[in-house]
Amino acid sequence: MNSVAFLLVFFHAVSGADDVVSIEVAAIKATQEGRDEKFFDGKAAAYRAQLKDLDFDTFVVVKSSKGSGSFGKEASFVIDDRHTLYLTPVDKQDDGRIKVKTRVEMKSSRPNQPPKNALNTMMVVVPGEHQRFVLGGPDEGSLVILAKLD
Amino acid sequence: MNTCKRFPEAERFFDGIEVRNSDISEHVSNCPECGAYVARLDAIRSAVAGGLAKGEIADGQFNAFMSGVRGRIETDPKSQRSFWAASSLVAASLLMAVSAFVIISGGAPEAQARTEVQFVETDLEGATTSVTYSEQGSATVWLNVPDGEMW
Repeated sequence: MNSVAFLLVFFHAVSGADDVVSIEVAAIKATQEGRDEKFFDGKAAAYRAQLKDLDFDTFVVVKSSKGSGSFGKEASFVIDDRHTLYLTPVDKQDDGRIKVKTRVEMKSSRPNQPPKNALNTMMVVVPGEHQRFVLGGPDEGSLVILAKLD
Repeated sequence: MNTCKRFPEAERFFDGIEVRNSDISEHVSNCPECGAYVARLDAIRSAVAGGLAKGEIADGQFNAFMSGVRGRIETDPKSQRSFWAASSLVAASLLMAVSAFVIISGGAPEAQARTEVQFVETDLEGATTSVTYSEQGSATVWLNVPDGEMW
């Protein structure tokens, strides 16, 4: 049984202004197809370095987007009909790192049930470095977030 | 140890120093201790005098002799200075190497942990979380979800 995984690649980019954060987000579906070699589709090939160590052999970009956000304000990115990414740049540290809150909201599979936070994190990240969030089950797949500030 | 009271006089007598009491000579002759002491002094003096060789430098040897004297004068201080200079250089180099090692070693571990994950939580029942770091210091946050919950 193939494992299906959504890989969400999330990029933060910091603009020249101190109160605005440039954000680049990408969602990548990663599956285990039983290939001899890992496969990256056209867009996913750009993220090969951030994905190649994961235990999947097929990577396909589902969605990507670029935008900007302000410190203290939440920005949203719809991944699919069940998952939405929310991120809030909190502040900029004295050493240049960005403190960011990342939340993945997931709608319930049951009717009339409110959505839940599948993941809620607070991180301090270095501009230019990718950070990853991998959410998934043993057979169904994972949701992976790559966070990068440029 | 000579216990005779006139022992100091006997020493001066041997050294040829004039003493007030002119019978010190007679005393040395009659006193076993002083007599034996003066005899030992005399024997030592004779041995030293006989052991000293009077060296003479011939005319043809004079230049070589002076060259050796100059060489000893000029070499010894330098050899001492070079020893201390080399020792100081080694000590300074060692100190610099240790300082550099401390600075470098002290800096590397911090660079590897530049990304900081302050907290991770989930509202999903039965789900577990964990965090791993790459060698470059970037983080991966893992959420393990029971089957049927994620999609």
